[in-house]
Amino acid sequence: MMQVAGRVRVLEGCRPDRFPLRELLDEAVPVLLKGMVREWRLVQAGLSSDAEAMEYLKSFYNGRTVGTYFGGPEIDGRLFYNETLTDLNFDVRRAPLAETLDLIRDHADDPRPPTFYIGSTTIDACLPGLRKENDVAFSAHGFDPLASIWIGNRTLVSCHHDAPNNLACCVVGRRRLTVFPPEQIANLYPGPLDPTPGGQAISMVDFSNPDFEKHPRFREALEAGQVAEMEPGDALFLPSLWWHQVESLSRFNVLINYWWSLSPKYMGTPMNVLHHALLSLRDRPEKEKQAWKSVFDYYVFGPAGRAGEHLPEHARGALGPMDEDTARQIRAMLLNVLNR
Amino acid sequence: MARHALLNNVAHRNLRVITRHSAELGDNVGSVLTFPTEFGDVQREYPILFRKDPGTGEFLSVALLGFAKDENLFLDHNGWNASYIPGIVARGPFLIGFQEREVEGELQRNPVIHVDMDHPRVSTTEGEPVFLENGGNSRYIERIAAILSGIHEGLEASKAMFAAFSAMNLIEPVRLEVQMSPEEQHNLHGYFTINQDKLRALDGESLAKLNRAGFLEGAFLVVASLNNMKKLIDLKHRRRLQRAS
Repeated sequence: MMQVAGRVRVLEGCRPDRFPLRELLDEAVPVLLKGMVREWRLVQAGLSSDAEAMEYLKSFYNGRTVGTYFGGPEIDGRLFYNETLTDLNFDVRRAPLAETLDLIRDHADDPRPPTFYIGSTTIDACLPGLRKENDVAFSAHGFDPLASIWIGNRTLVSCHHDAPNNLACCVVGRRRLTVFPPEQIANLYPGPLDPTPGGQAISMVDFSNPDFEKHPRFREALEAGQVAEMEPGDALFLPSLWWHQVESLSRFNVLINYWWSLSPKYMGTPMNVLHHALLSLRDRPEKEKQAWKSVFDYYVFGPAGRAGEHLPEHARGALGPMDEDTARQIRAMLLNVLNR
Repeated sequence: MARHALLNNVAHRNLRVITRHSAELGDNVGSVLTFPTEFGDVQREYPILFRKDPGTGEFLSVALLGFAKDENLFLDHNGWNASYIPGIVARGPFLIGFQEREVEGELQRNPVIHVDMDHPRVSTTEGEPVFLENGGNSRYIERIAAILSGIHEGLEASKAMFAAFSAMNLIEPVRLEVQMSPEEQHNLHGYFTINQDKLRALDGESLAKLNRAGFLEGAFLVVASLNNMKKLIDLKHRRRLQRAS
């Protein structure tokens, strides 16, 4: 079996209120911040026992149901598709978080347990107060990220990417993250845009048993990949759009992550741009499509100021620096022209 | 059994809705549900009365259209002669539904539109197209969406309104007896309205409370709407004369 040999760079000495966020964002490569959140109460509880970590979590729980993935023992924790890619291989239901914790506990010693997975749940919505003793000081950097919690037994979330920057803190249990730069997309063979296990397209490659006949370019991805072996208290900085497979390796695993964007709120979602481009650009005649590529390179992918700078300021409109008012005008125009 | 389907622009690409009004399309009814959110429009045309839901015993508001179960005095061969059609009729074959979706950890119930494919207004050859040529929303369906959300808000407002009216003892039964001729008398049973004396006698604090809740206007609109009883009787007289001639 081929393995990813690369290792994510390790940085020691970080703390929840002391880590080089600016430099991390500037460099925009994954970095494993060893032991950064080890002092968190939840990390300490988990190091003592799974039961203690579960009790500690329950002490904050407000009783709200949360989206929970349930898979049979036969999927071995791999949250994926059925054979024909028509549906997922697990059920999603809203369930009380405390009940899922009990299920994980009750099946902890099963040789082949069913899969239980609470993915990407906003901490403040179901565990208010948890962040008081378990948080990273983002406000000092001027960011207000979305803080989510991920809870489950042994699971494998297939390789996918997310739009925001990510700080993923391994809190309870061990995790292995296998990451790839954004430009590896074609070598990872992304699956359908819909349905998806968690909102993002996932790699169709079975990393533990790759089919190189079907996915020959995955060999190139393997060379570009890096692995981060995470222990409780470790944090991984993952830049926007880096691909990552997440393996939760212990009987009980908790991760807390922060997602934040560097772009103003008035900006639209690039995935919507992609859908629009699939609809309106992809299937044009090749020559035409390439001509559009030049147009996009000029207006969008080149320097932001280029298309406007030779015009007087008052005449730049959408070609000048974007602001809230211009964004509103463009949004109104798009709403209008899209409805036909 | 009605066949309800979640409206979508692929499965229902050719869906049209017949929007004219006629007895064959189910419009010949003596009363229709109405909601506080449309009292302003409804009271310009129809008497607004209250009735108890036979199932739940809760109060409902109705707009009176005629003196019998199958008599809509506003309806003739030219259609429905009124400046405002109550939302429950104007919505045609569409119903509001809800889809649950999680956004940043909060469960949101998002309204979606369902269509009753067995409704007599549903067509593929006649009427208003629901979708534009390439799948966009027609103005018609956007108007329906606004009507449906008005009905949804109206249902909520209705509960709160009747709770407020009941708490202040403003609701009283009303006997409607309409003598058209020595031989023809219509007695409408089971209706309630606002007790005008009690409404006028409310003290300042109660008035302010009702006003803040947004139901004081509703109470007066209901009272004012009763003037339309005279219009309904005139329409009935005219119909009798037409029948006779």
